[in-house]
Amino acid sequence: MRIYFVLLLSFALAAPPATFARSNDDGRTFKVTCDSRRGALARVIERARDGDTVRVRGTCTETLTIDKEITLDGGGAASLSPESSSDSTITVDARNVTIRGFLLESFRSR
Amino acid sequence: MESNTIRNASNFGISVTGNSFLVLLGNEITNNRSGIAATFGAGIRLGVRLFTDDPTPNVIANNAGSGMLGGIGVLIVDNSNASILGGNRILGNNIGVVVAQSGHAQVAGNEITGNQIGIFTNSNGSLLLPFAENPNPSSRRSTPG
Repeated sequence: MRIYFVLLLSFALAAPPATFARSNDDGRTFKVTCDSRRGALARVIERARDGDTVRVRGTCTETLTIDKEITLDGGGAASLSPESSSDSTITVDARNVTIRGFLLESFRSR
Repeated sequence: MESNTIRNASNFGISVTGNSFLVLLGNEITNNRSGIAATFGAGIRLGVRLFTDDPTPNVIANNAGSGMLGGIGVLIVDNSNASILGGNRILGNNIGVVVAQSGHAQVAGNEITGNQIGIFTNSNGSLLLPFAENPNPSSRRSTPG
């Protein structure tokens, strides 16, 4: 029983932070929750392709560079702040990028 | 960018630079050192969707930091261009809009109130005010470049 529990726990911990939600003509939609998962959003953006949408929940402390034509949707509740005081919160290096529904704040010392 | 709240940035809330182009609709850009900067040939469109009459205003307020380039609501410089700056509320900044160093802006239908200076042009900044709906005409200031 203990072995099953350990196996189950390791699968849970190894699971990717994002879920692939659906795909349609307008691109795929990813869902990601940031809380306590450092770099989760950047990893999803790395997987995304042009035309995809990334829906974000939670509080993200990440310095993001977006170099694809994607939509980043915070749903009016997600927040994002950079990892250091010298960083921009988001750097966009692509055309047709949409960022909506975020609270973008400066570096918060911890 | 749509419907974001951008606040407490230690420098600019939003910086668009190097021939990039950014559309800003319905954002709250408040309490940053300065609000929005377009530099080095950047293009921005604030507050108006193309092909519709409905403005989607940004609120650019209380960006009142000190020092060089501090306290500016919207800064357009270095051959940058605000093709449309319309329908926005630009309040409580030290300077609401700065168009300088060969920047260009077409500004119409905004509420620009409670700034120490509403609109400031300088150094070959080019400003087009096609309509009369920008309040605070007395607060506009232009100085030779």
